[in-house]
Amino acid sequence: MSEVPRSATEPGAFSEWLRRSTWVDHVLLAIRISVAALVLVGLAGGLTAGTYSAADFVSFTMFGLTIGSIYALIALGYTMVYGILRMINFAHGDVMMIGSFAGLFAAGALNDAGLVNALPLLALPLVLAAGMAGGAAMSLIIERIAYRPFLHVRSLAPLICAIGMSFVLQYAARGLFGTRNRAYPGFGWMEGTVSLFGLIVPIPQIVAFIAALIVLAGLLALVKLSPLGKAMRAVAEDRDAAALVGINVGAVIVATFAIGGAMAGVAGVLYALVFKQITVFMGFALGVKGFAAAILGGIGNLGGALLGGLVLGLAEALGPALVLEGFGLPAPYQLKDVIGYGMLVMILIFRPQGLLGERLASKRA
Amino acid sequence: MNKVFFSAATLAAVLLAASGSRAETLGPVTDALGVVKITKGQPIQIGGYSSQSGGDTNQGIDELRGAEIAIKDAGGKVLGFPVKLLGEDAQCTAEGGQTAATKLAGNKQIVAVLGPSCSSGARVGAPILWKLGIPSVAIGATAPALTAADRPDGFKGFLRVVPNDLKSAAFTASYAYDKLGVKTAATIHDGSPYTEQLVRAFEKNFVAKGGTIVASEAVSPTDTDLRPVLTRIATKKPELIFTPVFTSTVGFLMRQKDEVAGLAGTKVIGGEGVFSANVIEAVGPKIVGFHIVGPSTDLFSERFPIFVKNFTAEYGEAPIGGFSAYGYDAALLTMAAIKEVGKTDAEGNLYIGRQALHDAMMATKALPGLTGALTCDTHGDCGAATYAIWEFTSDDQSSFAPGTNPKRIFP
Repeated sequence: MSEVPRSATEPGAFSEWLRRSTWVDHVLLAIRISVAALVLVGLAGGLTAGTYSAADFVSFTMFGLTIGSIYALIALGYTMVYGILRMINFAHGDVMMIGSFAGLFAAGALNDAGLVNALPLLALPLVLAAGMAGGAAMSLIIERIAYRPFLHVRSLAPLICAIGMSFVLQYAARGLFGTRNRAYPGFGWMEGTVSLFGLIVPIPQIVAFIAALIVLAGLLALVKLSPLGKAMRAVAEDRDAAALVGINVGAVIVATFAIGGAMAGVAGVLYALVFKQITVFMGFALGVKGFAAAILGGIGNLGGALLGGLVLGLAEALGPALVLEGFGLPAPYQLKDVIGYGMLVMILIFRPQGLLGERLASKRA
Repeated sequence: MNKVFFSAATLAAVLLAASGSRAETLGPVTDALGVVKITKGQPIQIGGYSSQSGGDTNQGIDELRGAEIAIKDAGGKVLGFPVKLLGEDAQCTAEGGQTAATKLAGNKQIVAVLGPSCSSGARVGAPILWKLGIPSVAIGATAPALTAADRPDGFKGFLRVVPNDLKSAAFTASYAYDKLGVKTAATIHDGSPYTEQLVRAFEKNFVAKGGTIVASEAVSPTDTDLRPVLTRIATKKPELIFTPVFTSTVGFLMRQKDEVAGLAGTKVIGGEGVFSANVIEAVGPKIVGFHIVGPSTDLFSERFPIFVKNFTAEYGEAPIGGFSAYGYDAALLTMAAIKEVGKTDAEGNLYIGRQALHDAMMATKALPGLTGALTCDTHGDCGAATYAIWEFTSDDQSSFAPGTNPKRIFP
């Protein structure tokens, strides 16, 4: 990347940049300027159009944070597996779907047992636990069947296998659960809305956001503070060296998949609580979003996954209202994904390591 | 050089003659597109193509069975000649339509074809048949483009007895404006040709009546968060939202609508795509009071119950929905036209001019069909619109039964 001129007034700085830069630098600079101009014009137009009140924007932000925290949970699974195995687990979105269905069946069983009515506050943690267990179990099975055989193989095979697993899970679920949309229960107390600073916010959104933060904090604590976390970081740093100092690499990989699957299961249940209906094919689109969040934040970086998820969620929720509205586009919400993925492309062009980058020893970077 | 030029000119002349005019005189009939001669004692052959395999099998089988009943009701004969229906499988795909139409087109004795069940098959099949001068009467293809004024020439021989989607839009607009007295409406489509064409037609009709479309929005079928779109719509304060989108989107929309300030009292009318039990589960408790526009067999002619009885006696099972009635009407329309243009010679042979048959079919007026009075417009739309507005009355999935849940509220 070219050196940024120290000061425009300094004689020769600009000509020095011109001399050293190539046409690629010029094109990239032109892209930067035009994207910035597009966004600024859109922002100015969107804010002056006055279609939405301030309360609307706050409510979009709240929603962006909710969906963003769910993206973050999914992104964590991608990032953890990538950090350790250098492999993208494309079946991760479908693990989330399995977790979501596990939660659905648990909720149905609890409802039949009368527990939802008797102990409404306990039902939610139990359903979340079922989702985590379902996701973790599925993730372990996938690791055992599809990835472990490729552990010491350097090829594209694990990637292709991951894509295959994704289809196997989708269509197995289709055969078992059917293609219809399944309604998710709401446990009575979660059905309503609360008033926060004059804003009406649905309770499931708040629950999902807080639950996601708690789970994320727990995961970060596990990775930073526990012996298992230390082992995981060591394996991520250098698998052979970790094995040499007595770390059971196989066990660490299994643990990583289990934790990633559990995160996906939580994400699946929280997603279903917010959106109230699930299908067997929902994993794919959400998986891609989670993957995008992981890339955005810097794949392999846990904090980056969190940041990437929130940024993607906010961009999707606010982008159409803030930027596209300014251009007077008809039906701007159809272009929601254009903003999210356009941002991803920009990140890949200008900061390929992601927002936070991967914090690894320099030899791995 | 001269020789080459000469052969090229001859070839061009021959080609021109072959493609330019297919006029033919056979017996007492001269026709621009050719004449079908049916020797005395031989049957009049009518082709049929519908979904006999794949996901829409039940619909396709019912449709051709309906046509068989129509032939039977006519005594099995037209102008003293027995009528034979040759069924082919068009599945519900473009490939199926092509295969079936090609097979039917190979039979030069076929005078007209009934079908297909799906717009995708019609798009490919109808031109193949019309190229040989065979008109087709669709029984399930509803896409507006097939009978649009600017349709390609290949569809000039295409008619349908099933109502064009545009009629459902006109019906909905009239219900909203005239019956509900709504003056402002918003629309949402999901980018699919079906929903977008329907929404555009609704907007046109609603505006023509004097209403105002305050917001015309779109989502994608995979969208789960519709709150921003709904918030945008809420700022325009419509009295009604028309959205013929599919089950999952309707689920998200109805569940999230009341969370958006200002939309709690807004009515929503959905399309016939969600006329199923599954939408009840997708929407949950908010389904109660949800309106959809959909076809109604209650509004078919008074002969429909008798038809159902005959059908059941013939095939040992009741027809599913109204599909078989469209098959019946397609056969009815075709036979009426044959009766009009068929001419016999002294030996008792029957001659049917292809162009004349097509013109007679297109000229159908107030033919008392099973689904209502059939009148063809200049583009080939002959269906009697039998739409109704339905309202869901319960969120219990097992209670789905057209008539009670959803209940017909208009007309």
